Amino acid sequence: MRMRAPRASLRARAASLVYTAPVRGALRRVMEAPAGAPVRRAVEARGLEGQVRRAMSERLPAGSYYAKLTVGDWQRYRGRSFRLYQGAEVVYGNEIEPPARGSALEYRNIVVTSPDPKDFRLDIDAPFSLKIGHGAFTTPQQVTYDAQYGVEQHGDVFYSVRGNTTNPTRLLVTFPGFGPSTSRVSYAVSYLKELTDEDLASTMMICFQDRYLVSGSYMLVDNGGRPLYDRVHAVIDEAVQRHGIAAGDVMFFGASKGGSIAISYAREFPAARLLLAVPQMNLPYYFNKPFFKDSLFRHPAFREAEQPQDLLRRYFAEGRTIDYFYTNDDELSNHSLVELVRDVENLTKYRVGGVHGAVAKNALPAILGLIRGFLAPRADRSLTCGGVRTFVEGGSVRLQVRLDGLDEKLTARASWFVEGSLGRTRFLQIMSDHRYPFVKYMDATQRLSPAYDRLADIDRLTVVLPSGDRYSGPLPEAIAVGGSAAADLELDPAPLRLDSDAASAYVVLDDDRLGRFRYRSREVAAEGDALEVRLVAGPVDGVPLEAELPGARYVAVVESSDDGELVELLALRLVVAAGVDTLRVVVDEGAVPPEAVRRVAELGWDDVRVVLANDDGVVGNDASEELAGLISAGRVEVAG
Amino acid sequence: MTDARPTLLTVVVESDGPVDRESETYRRIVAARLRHEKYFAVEVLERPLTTGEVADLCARLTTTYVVFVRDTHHVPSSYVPTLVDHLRKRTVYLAEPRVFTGPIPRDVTTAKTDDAAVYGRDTDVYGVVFHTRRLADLLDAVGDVDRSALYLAYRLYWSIAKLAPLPVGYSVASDTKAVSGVRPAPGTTRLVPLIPSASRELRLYLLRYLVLFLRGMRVHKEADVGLDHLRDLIREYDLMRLVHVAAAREPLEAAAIRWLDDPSTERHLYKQLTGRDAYLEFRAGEPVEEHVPLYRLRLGEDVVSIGKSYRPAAERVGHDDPGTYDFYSRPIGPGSTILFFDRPGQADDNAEHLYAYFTANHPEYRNVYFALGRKSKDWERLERRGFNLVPIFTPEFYELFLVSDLVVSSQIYHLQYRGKTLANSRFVYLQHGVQLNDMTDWVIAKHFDVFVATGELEADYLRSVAPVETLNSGLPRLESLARVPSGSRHLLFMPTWRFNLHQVSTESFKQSSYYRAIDALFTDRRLLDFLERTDRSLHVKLHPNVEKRASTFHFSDRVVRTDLSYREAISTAEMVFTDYSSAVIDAAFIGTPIAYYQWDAEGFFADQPYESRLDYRTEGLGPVFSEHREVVDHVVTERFALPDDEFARRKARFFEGVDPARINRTVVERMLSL
Repeated sequence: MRMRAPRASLRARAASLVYTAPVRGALRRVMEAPAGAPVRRAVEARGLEGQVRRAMSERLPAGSYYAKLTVGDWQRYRGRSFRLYQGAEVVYGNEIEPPARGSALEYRNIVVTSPDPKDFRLDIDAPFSLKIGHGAFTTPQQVTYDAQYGVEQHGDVFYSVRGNTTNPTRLLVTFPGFGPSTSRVSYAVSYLKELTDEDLASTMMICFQDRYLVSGSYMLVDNGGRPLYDRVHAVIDEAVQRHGIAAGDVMFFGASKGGSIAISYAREFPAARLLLAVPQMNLPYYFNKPFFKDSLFRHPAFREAEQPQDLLRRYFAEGRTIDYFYTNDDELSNHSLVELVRDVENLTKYRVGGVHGAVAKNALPAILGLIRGFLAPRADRSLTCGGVRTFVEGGSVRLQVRLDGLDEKLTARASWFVEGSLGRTRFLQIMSDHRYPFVKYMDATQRLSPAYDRLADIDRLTVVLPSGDRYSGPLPEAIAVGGSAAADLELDPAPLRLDSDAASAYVVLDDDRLGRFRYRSREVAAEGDALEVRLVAGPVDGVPLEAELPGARYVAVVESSDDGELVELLALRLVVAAGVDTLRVVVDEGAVPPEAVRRVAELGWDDVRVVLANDDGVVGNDASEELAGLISAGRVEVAG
Repeated sequence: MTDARPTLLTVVVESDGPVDRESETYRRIVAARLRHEKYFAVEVLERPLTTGEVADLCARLTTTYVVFVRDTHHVPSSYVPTLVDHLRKRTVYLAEPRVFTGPIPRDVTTAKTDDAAVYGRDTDVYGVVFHTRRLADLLDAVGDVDRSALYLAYRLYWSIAKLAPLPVGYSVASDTKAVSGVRPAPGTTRLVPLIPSASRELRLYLLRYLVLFLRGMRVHKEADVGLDHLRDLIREYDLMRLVHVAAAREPLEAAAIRWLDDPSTERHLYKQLTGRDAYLEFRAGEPVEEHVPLYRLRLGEDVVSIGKSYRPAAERVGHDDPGTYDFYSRPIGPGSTILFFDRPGQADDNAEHLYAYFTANHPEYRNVYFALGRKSKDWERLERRGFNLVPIFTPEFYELFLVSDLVVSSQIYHLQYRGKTLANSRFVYLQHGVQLNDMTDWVIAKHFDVFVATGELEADYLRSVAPVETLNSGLPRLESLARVPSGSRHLLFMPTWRFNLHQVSTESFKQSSYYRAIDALFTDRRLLDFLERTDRSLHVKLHPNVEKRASTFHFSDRVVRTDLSYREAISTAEMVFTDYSSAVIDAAFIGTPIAYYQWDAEGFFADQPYESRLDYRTEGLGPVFSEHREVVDHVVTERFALPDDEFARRKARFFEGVDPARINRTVVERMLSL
């Protein structure tokens, strides 16, 4: 027993030595050597690569450690949220999802400030273990993955380089999205395997890896919370400068998280092309869900950063060339910007049906085609559309087109669109393949809205092949929706403000639901920790911007134009923007229907309080049985 | 002493009358005695095989196994030896060959075994070896099912879910059941015992049997099997999961099964049309007045009415779904692909004539094709005429079918490709000839947008079941048909065919009244003298099915087989006569005298799947003779050449509504308006 303490102490000292800057630097130089170099071969031959890679991982600030949480008996807790506490502080949280078959449920690289596992507890009674150390945790699968895709560490930045690395004339930069939260490969790259060496004959491709925190940090900060921008930008800029790549011959690509990162790193490349798929426009808003609520949502960097939607609005104003794939069924990512934006020069919007996660997959032929079109530009070819049929369903329209003289090449994998203009913006709505190759149609998730799609200006059929070839031809007739079609509403995707003394318009769009609002807002007390939203029945003009309840920092008065449709999302966006913990919603009599009140009361926000300003005419009649239930359940209060 | 009687197998050869011992099938069975005589016996049953007959045989036979072979069916030489070799080495409930309805392939093990092939198999008792005692046991327990269901009942009763067939074929020779269905013996109240089975193979057989029963109901209109049993059958074997297999070929029966499964849904889409669609309307009880009545059936104590209705296209399921492609959604125009065809092996029929007219008069249509078998002798002829030919039933043909806006044909096939069928796309049916028989059961079961009729009589008959689809324009080939004087004078005889002579031996064929009546004509001295004296000849156009027997007839210098096409033969003849062929209508249309020689009128329709619609004696367009002497008199006295007011009147009535100069134009106007 006596001998053990000195030995343990020796090991701890040795470990500390390994993680010192000089040793870390030396190891990094070893592993940055070419793959076949003798020193690397020697490390690999001795089976030390894993340890070496761990030792060379990013150095955390003093007093910070990497932790690996392993949760046992996860099947019992599947679908449940959990939090990991260090003392009284939440250091991580997530929703339990099954791990890869045969693997333990692990969350790696949680940054903590205590090396002692005893300082930690879970808020569910599942068994768990913690490993805590100076080096970042990884998995054999991640090591294999990195080797497969040539991901190398360069300082604290990770990326693979492929294509023409000697004298490229173009640069393609990609950023990764999230993988499944329990994947053994937490840090992927957007490698675009389908792109061949031939495709990249004159292009260098840099595929960045977002290797920070448990599953990525949007490449905003490293594990220690230090901004990454300069380090990553330097890599891109160096490639551009070294090879003399023209400003317009750079493309940034990313899907989902990768799209948001691409927006961020395109900042200083105004002539570059941006190819985006479902990027998150407002990160704190996106993080307000179980997977992120107790991790990224709590991280101050994401709130402090300039949000992708602000950058993008700036890019729109600059007339940057942007191809943007999205779905209306993704308000968390879109934040009601891309769906509504129009008349922006050099912006092309591709609306793809389905959920967020399906967009890049469903539009992959077009995405690959746009990339190959960038790698080797070519002219459009013509296409003959034999007929178009219009199907009107409630407030939306679906189309079916018939092709004549279908070219053999067009029967292969391709993305089909109807195309039109929204002022200076090009708009393309994806269509589905039918079992008859000469028929393309919009499935239930692919719809046009007469309210904001300007059907009269949708006049072409376009197909983009993965090869980069693009065919397009006019629709033989206009889209006929009859007299019942809603008018073009000229919806303005204005940013949501907390300092709007004058009445402003705001629109929320979620799939086929549309909520239009007028609102005013202001900060009433800097020390407050709540947002008070007052829903009023009449015009907001003239309504005093005063808090009804104590403790409010911000006040907003809101008038719904659509019977309270999506008012709960407006309230949520406001509270996220305010950065406060508490949301109070005061509902004036007749402001919104009881159903809307219920939706607000059931909002996915920890601290929400709904107060009916007046119960007259609300409680007690037939229409408000629902409200009465909410009141008796304590979810809605009645003022006074 | 050892009993020399075979103990292994009895082959029961069934024949409706005296068995044809010279037939190939009989000879092949008996020939197996050379090596296997000690193993099997042959019994001849010269009356129809019934469940009762089977029971009697089982009680009487001493062999372990029994197999039933109908003398009109086909077996290869290896059939009996294969059975014997198999049965000698083992004891089995059942042994069966691969059963075919058409020719037996050289290598039967390569035959298809997909759902369609399993479904298409004939599941009667024939060709299959039963264990005699176990068959007797079955009949003790389940003696109330019809003979046609014994094989299925046996497999259900003994739980034989899967059976590997022997590497030998057996053919029932023709699929007449598809036309006439199955009719259980009177008093039969259930089709099969409802013994559970999850075997997909057996369930497909049961589906087929049910379809054939329903087909038989359309012919015979009544049975003692009640609706409850049919519903129980569908549910017990979960036939709704398989009914799609039947839907392509037997759409009406498939719809009936769907209704049986869910009687609350009485209306079933049957054929998409232009602007409105045709539905079948099923209901338990008497028909609804506003529907076109098709059938009133008695099933046990239940009455079922089947009618037809036409409903707006907007009512069709999927009409408002862009995921459903509507082949009617765009009008036919110059960019449309239009596909014409006659028979694969032979053109020169209504589609060829309409194609020629259409392409000559509508050159703006750029994608018009004529489909034909690549080996057809007409291919080169039509190629020389500049026809835009496509080999029929090739991948290219099906791709054209898929993109086509219209199919026009004198032939109905179950075209089906990637979900496109004639039920959901435009099809103009031109027919080969005028329907003189009552073929309403056949007409009802087919899908068409336009059915071309010739004259009001036929049109009225067709309108009774297809009021929207019937077009009385006349057959396209008639428009260009004309009497053409030829260098020599000749008469034309065109006898049709007899179904019951399909499989008979040459000797039996020569003993048939069909052969004797025709050959007697060919060798009639008075007729031959007349032909000689007047320097005429009698051209004979044999039915294609008789061509292989042509050498049995006594042709001569004056009685000759003609190689001319029907069209040429008819247009150059002075007079045309037949027994029952509708081809003489063409002759009547161009004013050529016609006559009927019906030596077997009484028995003829009994053997045919269809009944005569036309009373030849009161409505025929020429005289009808039943005696040899009468027809010879008619010819040798040249009465045929005399004007006849009665036939002129009948002809005017028969062809009423047909404008000889506008036939093609009328058809084209209608087809382009679809």
